[in-house]
Amino acid sequence: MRTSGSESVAASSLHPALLDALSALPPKLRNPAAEEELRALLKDVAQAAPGLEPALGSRLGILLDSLDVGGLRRWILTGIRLYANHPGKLASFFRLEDSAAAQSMVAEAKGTCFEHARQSLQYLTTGFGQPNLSLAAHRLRSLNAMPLRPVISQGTLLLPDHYLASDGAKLGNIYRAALAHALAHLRYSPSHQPAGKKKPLLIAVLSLIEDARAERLAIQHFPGLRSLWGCFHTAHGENNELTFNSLAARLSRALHDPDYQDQNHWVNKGRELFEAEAALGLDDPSRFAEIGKILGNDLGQMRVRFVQDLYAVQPPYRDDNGFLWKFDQDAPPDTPPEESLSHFSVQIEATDQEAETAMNVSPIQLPPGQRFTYPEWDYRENLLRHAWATVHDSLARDPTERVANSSQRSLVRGLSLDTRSCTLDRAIRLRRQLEGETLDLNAAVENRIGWRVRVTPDPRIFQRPGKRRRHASILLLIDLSESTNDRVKGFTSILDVEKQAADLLSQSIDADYDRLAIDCFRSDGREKVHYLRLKEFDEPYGDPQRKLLMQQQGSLSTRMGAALRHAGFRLCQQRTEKRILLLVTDGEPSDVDVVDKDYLVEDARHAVHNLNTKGITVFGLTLDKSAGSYMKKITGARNYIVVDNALSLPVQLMRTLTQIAAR
Amino acid sequence: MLMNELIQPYYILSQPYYLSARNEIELFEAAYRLRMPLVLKGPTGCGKTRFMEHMAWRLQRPLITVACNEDMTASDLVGRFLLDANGTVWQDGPLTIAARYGAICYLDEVVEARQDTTVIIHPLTDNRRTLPLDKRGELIHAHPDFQLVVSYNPGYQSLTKDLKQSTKQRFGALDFDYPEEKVETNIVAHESGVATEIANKLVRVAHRSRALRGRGLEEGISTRMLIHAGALIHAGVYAREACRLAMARPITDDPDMLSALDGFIDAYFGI
Repeated sequence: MRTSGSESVAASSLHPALLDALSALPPKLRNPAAEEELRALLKDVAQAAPGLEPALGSRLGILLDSLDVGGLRRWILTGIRLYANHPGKLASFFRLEDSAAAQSMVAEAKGTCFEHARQSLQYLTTGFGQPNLSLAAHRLRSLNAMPLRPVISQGTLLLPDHYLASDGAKLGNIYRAALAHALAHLRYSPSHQPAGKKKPLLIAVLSLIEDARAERLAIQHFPGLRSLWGCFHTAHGENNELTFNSLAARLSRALHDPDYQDQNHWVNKGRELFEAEAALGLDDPSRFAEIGKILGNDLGQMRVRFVQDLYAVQPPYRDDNGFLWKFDQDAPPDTPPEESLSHFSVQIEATDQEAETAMNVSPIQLPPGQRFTYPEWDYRENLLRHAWATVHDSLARDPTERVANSSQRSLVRGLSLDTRSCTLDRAIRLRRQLEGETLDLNAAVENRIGWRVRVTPDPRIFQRPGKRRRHASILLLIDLSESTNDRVKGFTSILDVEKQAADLLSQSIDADYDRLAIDCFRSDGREKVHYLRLKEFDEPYGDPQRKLLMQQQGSLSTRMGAALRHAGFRLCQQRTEKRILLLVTDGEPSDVDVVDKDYLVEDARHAVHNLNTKGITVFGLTLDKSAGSYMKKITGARNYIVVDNALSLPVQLMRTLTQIAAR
Repeated sequence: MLMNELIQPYYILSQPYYLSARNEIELFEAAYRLRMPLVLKGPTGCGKTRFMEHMAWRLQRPLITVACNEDMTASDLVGRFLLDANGTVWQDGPLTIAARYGAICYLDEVVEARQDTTVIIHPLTDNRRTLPLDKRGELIHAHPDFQLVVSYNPGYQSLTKDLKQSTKQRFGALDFDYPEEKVETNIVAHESGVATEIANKLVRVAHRSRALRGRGLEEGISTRMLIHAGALIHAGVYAREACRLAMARPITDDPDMLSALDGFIDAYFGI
């Protein structure tokens, strides 16, 4: 439906029924940003459930009306898990003819995904004494794979990127439960014990007992965890199913919930053995391992089959227990225990720190060449896409180069920001005033004395707070896109004028009061937003910075939102009273991977709005005469000007800055 | 007679509850024997003011407390002329009263006062131990029992709010922090009336939040907040609700942080 190289490749492998469904989507559901993800998902579905594309295609519009792509994925997964071997039933699920389909659609519309919980989980991790444990998401490789479980690896806790409502996500805060369980292991469990030649079944039972022991110990310290975990223990033995999965889940529940009753002898035996040991103390894992061996042995005699590929630890908040074991690399190939417990491949997604996170927690010094991911706003879906755009931040000069010897150029007379930007400061008190907020008590007493002794009293008996010059941080963000190479007059390009303006501004800033940084950006698709720092806030503006500024060339496109968010992140680290972001651009936002003109405008508007809430004033100067329509949207009517004569940009910039600073 | 009337209200008659965390009582007594001016440093709500009350009671000295603020002037501390029907009368300020009659003067949150205000304590805090009242033309020699104590919270003071070096160097300093778990539990149980077991849970929730100090929280949950929460629980409020009200909601507005704090509360009090 849209014309771009990558899409035509993707289109070629999609079923015609799905292609039709995609092109029949009403405009409000069309979303270039999410389309790639949606197509990838549909391809996964075609692989996981071949032949059911028409069924899914027929309802795609209805589904996307209430679910985002992540929600659609969770909904499809629910269907595939429910009707793994019943294509007919799965087709009716996809056609929304199955009652479970509608229920799941409602449940997944507000589903549980890692991104929403990440920040709060990171705080919890720190509070529970593991500030260095980083959290990351991991994702199913194919829709047919077994549901994911958390994985504890060196310094990182991988959590599934989503939990389905049918997994129990609706029963309580499952991410919190998963985190607490992992922390219990890290604190109480022996890690990486040699697995030796233990059979996968024995390892699963031993792990189950260790899970219960670690949780017991954690509950002794944090009694509330019992009810947190208790929500997810829903296994029951009404049908007395004798499969390993059922028995293991019921034993887990019996060990967790003293009120739980089960008719199965093995479950009850496990509970009795465990409670008998627990009464003697929980500290020695080896005694509990003995219970595991007895129970594992019993299962062998009961001829309970254990298929490791079909086993996922229950309840779903528990981790895969790979943390507990160290598998012998040269174990015989017929019983490869690795597969049973570590077939959830340890794969960390993006390693770049979320800049948003950094913004909230603590300002960090940016090393050169760092990558940041930022969300992007999709106006048609009313959806903030997490980690959508990647900003490549780099310092223009060689970071090892010393800049201390560059001295601030002298101020340009008559152009410096004057003292109009004053603020009321109660620490400054003007005494003996003719009028004011309060009586100046000492002056008032002297005034009365004057009356009594019949000399002319001094009428200035009031005091009021004075004003003080505010300190500001100013970030000048320059658009370096291809179009800035256009000539405005003879040999002068727009970029030249932008450079002159930046140069003049830098020379006019009084470093005693204000800090100025000069950054520029250009973009090449959402994965490559290049962000170049020409002058840092704490650098003086001297010849090296000037040279760098003059060297810049225009190329590529203008993805404004991501650049604005990153500039905002840099400004947030400044601790001045006023923070101003000046954006100088020559045209409206655009990028190679976006066709919809409004998309980037709306995204930039969203970015500006967020910066405003953080106390950053964003002001746009544009050289595009027809900019009124979009700049008004992005910055608001008061916060932009169109410079119709490009050559007057430097002067206009100064004038504007003075005005904003005085607001 | 006049002296008694003036200073009598400042005596602390009944023993203020204070549980010593380390050896701060002995140290303070030693400093008082030398009449050495002291700074009490520590996070908000950890018991600095209560400690002062306790020490004043223990040493049987009147305690004059001044809460400092930006608007405070030197006259607010030393006194000023006021008018009555017959003319002007001099009114001693709290610092002057303390120096005249031998009280302990406690300037709470002293960095809040402006630096030019705090310099007037200089002659009182070195070996001169005098307070000149220039408006009145009087030089007060401090009473032998007079001592000056100031407090401040190093946590949230900004760069612009700090004591001058010349002020700092006149003082000895005692560091305060939240007491260790056992002591804090006893304090919370005693002050709020809840059972030790609940008090201990409250303290442990606070410990979790204090680990987030500087990592998203400006300050962790203080002992004072725990006492509030305990008192609510003692009054019959459901523990989880009381913790949310008195401990989590007041210290942050960030929804992620609130969710994490609720997580700590739930980990001890259940859901």
